[in-house]
Amino acid sequence: MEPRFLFPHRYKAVGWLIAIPCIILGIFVLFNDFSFDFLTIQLPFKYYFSDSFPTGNSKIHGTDEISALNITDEIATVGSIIGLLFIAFSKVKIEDEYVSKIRLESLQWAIYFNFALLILATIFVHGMAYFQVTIFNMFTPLVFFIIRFYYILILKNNEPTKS
Amino acid sequence: MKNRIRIERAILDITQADLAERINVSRQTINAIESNKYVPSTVLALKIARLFGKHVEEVFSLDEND
Repeated sequence: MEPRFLFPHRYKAVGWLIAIPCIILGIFVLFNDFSFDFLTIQLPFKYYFSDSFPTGNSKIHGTDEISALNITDEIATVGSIIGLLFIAFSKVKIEDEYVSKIRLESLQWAIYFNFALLILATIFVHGMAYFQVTIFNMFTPLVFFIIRFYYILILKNNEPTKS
Repeated sequence: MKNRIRIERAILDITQADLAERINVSRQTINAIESNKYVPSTVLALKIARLFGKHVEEVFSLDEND
């Protein structure tokens, strides 16, 4: 049975090449507020956005109008997601029905694990730190899936042949 | 489900890897089937039986849990 919705095997290497630099860049953006100056682009239109933060009993309402945007964080985010998707959903060398089963189980496992952690984080993490939790949570389902899937595949691969 | 793959393999004197290669699956798959961790699809069961020159029921049989 031909597996559906998977990328060709060679996309896995491409995925690593995209994901690793983008994740490293993303970590710098997140923790050091890092940005490349050359990635600031002039927008051809005025980008107008408004935010409201409830703080205690009052609400801060902020509006801002920008005409230039630094796209370092956008590149890091989109690159990480695309790279991780390629790593996660490229065919392995021999993509057979048993691999499909492991794939599906790992996906389910990753979703359970991810949301279990999210529940714990929701209970124990508050304030702006929780904002970071939600950022990590954009990527963790894929990361957990990749770890679980390849762990099982490699573990089975190294199992001694009983004959 | 029980299977006699390990025995049939011994008769033909082929390894899990040989068997896997001949029916285009990974060695892990054969290993998982032999150790009863995975029940193969009908297509795969037919391919395995054909390779051994047997009927499917001679290679695979139901056990008390099925």
